Parts: sequence; C-alpha cells; structure tokens
Amino acid sequence: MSKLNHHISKWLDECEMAMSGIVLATREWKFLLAFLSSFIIFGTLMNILSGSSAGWDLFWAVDFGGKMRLLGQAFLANFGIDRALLDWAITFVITILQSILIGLVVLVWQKKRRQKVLAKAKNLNNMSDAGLVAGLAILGSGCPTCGTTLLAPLLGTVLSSGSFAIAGVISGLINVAAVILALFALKRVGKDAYVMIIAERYEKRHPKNNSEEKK
Amino acid sequence: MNEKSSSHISRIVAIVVVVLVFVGLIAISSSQKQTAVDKVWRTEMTVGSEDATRLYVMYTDLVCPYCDVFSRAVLDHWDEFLAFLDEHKILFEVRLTDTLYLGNGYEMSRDSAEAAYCAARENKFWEYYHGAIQALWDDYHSKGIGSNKTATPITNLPSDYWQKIGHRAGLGDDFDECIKTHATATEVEDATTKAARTAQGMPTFIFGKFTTAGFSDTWGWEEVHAMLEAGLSN
Repeated sequence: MSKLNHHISKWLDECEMAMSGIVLATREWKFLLAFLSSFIIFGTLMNILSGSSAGWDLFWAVDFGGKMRLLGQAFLANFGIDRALLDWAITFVITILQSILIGLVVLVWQKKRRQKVLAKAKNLNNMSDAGLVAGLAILGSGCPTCGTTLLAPLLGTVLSSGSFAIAGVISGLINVAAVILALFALKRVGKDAYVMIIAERYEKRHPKNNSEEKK
Repeated sequence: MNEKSSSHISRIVAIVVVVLVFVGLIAISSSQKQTAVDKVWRTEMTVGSEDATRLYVMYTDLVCPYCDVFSRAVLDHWDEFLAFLDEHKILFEVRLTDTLYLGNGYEMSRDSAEAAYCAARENKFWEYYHGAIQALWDDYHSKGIGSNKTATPITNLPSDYWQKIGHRAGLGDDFDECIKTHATATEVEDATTKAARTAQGMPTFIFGKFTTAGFSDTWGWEEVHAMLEAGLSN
C-alpha cells in the first residue's frame, strides 16, 4: 500500500507541476503566440468539419467571398456563436487542450534547442502526441447518428449497413481518447515546461553564483 | 530503457494507424465516384423544371436534424428555390429513406418515411413533406429537442403524429389505411437499401458533380444557395 501511495503521491505532484508549468507558460510570448494560432486554426477547422465533410466540400466550391464567410462563421463558432451549448462545449474543450498542448510543445522545443540537451527525441515525441490528438479529434467529428462522421465511409466499406450505430460509438470513443491523450501529454510537457522555466529563473537570479561555480 | 522503447513503439503504432485511416478515407472517397444521377426514382418526389437538363438529388431522412435544417431553409425560401430550379433547368428530387431506423433503430424514422410514401401515392408528397418539416420545427427543434447530435432526443412522439400531419395536408381515409397497414414499408426499405449504396450518410447531396454529405445546423439559405450554385459550376 505504501508503494501505491508513493506512486499516487508522485503522480499528483507531477500533475501539480504540470499545472504550474501551464500557468507559468502563459507569461511567455512564444507560448501565447502558438496557443492563439493553434486555437484559431484548429478550432476553425474543427467547426468547419462539425457538419461532416460538407463544410470542407463547400469551402472549395464557393468563391472568395463565400470562403471568407464560411471561415468567419467557423471562427465565431469557437466562441459558441450560433452553436448549441453542448455541441460547442465538446469542440471547445478539445480545441483548448490541443492549443495549450501545442503552445507548450513549441515553448519546450525552443528551450530544449537552446539547451541542446536530449532535444531531438523528446521534441519529436511531444510533436507526435500533439499531432495524434489533432488527428483523433478530427476523425471523431461529424454526426454519428446520421452516419456523416469522417469515419463513416471507412466503416461503411468494412461493415456495410451495420456501421451507423458502431460509427456513433467509435466517434465517441475517439473523442474521449483525444481528450485523455491530450491530458497525459499535457502532464508530461507541462512538467517539462515548469522545470525549464523555474531553472531559467534561478539562473537569471543567481548569475554571480553560477560564474563562481564555474571557476 | 524497455519502458521507453515500448512507449516509443506504441506512439509510432498509433501515428501509423491514424495516418493509414486518413489515407484510407482519401482512397475510398476518390474511388466512390458519385456519378451524375440521371434517372429519377419517383416523380412524385421531384420539383422543378419540366424541361430539366440537370438532376439534383438529396438523400434524406425526416428525423435527421441536419437534413431538416436544409429542408427548412429551402421551405422558408421556396419561391426563390423554385425560381433557381426554373432558371437553371434543374429537376430536384428528394430520396426519402429511413436510414436512421436502419442504423440506429429509430422507429419514428420508419413511421415518418412510410407516411411520406403514403402521401406520395396520392400525389401530395410535397404538402406532406413541408408539413412534417414545419411540425418538427414547431414542436421539437425550435425548443432544442432533437435539433442536433448533442441535443435532448425526441422521445415522446405521439403515435398519430405523422397521421395528423397528413390530415393537415389534406389527406384522408386512404392515407390512414395506408399507414395502418404499412402498405409502403417495402418501398421504404427498398429505397433505404438502394440509398445505402450511394449515400454517405444523411443528408447526402448529389448536385451534378458537386457531391457532399452533411449539413451544419448553423447554416441557412445562403449555404443552400451556394451548394445549388456549386452544382452548376461543376
């Protein structure tokens, strides 16, 4: 039991560090820039695809004015405008988690590149997690009941008429998987960000100590 | 080291699976060429130009909320819609199915489709269809019930709901008898089976070479018009 308690305690500590890392990161302009860019781009894309592939198909079929109108509607939908509450909330949560994750990945990438410490492998892992979350979230979009999820053509090819009910379950599971993966990735990257930011602050506050140690 | 290796492998497998799924989707979409439909299924369910040179098709289910958003936008701009069809010599066909019954077991999907086909037998399909769209909006969708994929579903539909819509559309005893005996059940089932070979869910639109599936509940007549226009340019 004590070993279990130790593991739980350690896990909670890491979660707390990750949360602190996210809060501290909001003071870094690189994080904010990446977060906002991701929120706008990813959120708009998710909203365009919320009506299945129709939004995407229509975007490419209309003229420039039509394209701008569709993008504008999808952008405003990020803030719940003209969206049903629950529908909006699910997309918003996934978009926010994804945007925080991308912001942290960019921030940690920059700091690790500077430190040149185990940069490449860990950065690639973080990037691939962020990409996975985005991919899963997009696959889970659409209307499962009506059979217009992005997965529907694939399931229809494999399962024929039985695919609709299964598409609904799978879409739900994919959305849940995207959120869980995002939370796990946020814990890891948030902790990295916390450690790096605190270390940077310490070095800035104690530059004389550092140079004396080097002597 | 073993833990890191297995975590690394799991990550790679997950990425490969997601990429393969996307590649598979692109391949399937490319291979399922939605050829221009040139044969009307049921003339009673068409509207438009008598000397039409184009056929626009909408696969739909009356209880599919996103299908109803499109149909309601058209209903609210019916005169403009008819003028567009006439100007561009388009025949517009609604291919009504009970896909949501087939896929999810929604009884009201089958009941609504059977009633619509009963109305079509008496040449009152459009009166019935518009009545059903309006009734669903007034009684449920405008109140946030059954209006999208996350809304509270419609659960208390009266057993004579579709019958009353028919009565309001001017249908009488023959219509009631048709519903009571499920006279159109086979027609509905056949239509749904045929639709499943072409449609990519509900609604599916084949407007010339412009084909797509789905419709957003935030869209309206402007998007409908854009889709109709897209069928012309392709």
